[in-house]
Amino acid sequence: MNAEATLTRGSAECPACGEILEVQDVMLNEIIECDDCASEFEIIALEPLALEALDEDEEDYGE
Amino acid sequence: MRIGILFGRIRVEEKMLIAAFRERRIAFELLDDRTLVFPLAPDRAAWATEWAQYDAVLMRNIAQSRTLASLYALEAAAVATINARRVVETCGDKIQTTLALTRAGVPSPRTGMAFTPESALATIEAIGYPAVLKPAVGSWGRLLSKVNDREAAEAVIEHKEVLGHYQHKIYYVQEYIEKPMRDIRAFVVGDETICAIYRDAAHWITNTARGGQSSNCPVTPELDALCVQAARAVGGGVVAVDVLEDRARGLLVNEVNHTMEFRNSVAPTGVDIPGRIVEYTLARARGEIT
Repeated sequence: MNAEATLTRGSAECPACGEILEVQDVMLNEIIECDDCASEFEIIALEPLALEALDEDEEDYGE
Repeated sequence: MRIGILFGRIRVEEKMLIAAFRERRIAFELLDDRTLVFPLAPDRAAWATEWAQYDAVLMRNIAQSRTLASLYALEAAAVATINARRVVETCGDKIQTTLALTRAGVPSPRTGMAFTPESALATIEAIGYPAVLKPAVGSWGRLLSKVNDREAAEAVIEHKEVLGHYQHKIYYVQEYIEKPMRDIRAFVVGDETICAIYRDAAHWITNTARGGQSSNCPVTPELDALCVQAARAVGGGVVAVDVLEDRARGLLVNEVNHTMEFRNSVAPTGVDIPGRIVEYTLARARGEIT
């Protein structure tokens, strides 16, 4: 995988609330949170920016 | 040197670790566990050789069971991993953690286990109210229940019985520690407690993932010794030790985390936690520590 895959600046519509989500210096597979509705998404593509809902209850996520 | 970072999602912590590798001009590979293929049988040679090219793999998966499954394969290929399979296995299961801490003589809250509503209630009553019910596997303070009396205990047990998954029928019960509205999270790297934070919260669940506020907690010799002892009890490496302050008994180790989050702990402590993890990983890769 290309470890350098980053996006300096971009925006996408929040799949949950529809607000425009601005991002800065993000990576592929990074988790981001919508400022408006607090939903969490994974960045699945950088150009164009694409988001996928993160379902934390699906798996035994933790630390 | 070849370093891998095995991940499931990129959290703030993984970005901080990546930045720390880049600062040191250390090349690394990001290994998304969703893209990996582990041909386990019948031929061991090919995949074991491929994995053996890594001098060390930093395990940063977000899913517990997948971390463990990956570690079975990496361990079979004799790859140095941070953390080791035994550490993840022990820390990922609170029953195993409690047993490991007890075996090593690390003070921890009174804890019991039961498998049926009747024996769970008996366990809770033996420990006394309030008691805390936790899933044996889980993080971020999810599904923790503080039961203050018998009626609450019966209600929680009934709910757990209908939740369906067999794991909810493994009752892990702990005494509730009357802590001073905070707990301590200490970060252990190798044989040193590198820093610690207080997690203050008005709520009895103090996880920062649940809104707990962090501030610096001085690492006293007592705290350092306790946390290093707890880390060794689970197999060592890079771990976060959760400590409760009991009025009568002093410091008690509550949990040990194997893929720790630290985004809220660098600023209050002033300690470069990702940098220390990277240095430890490099030392493992060079074979300086085992």
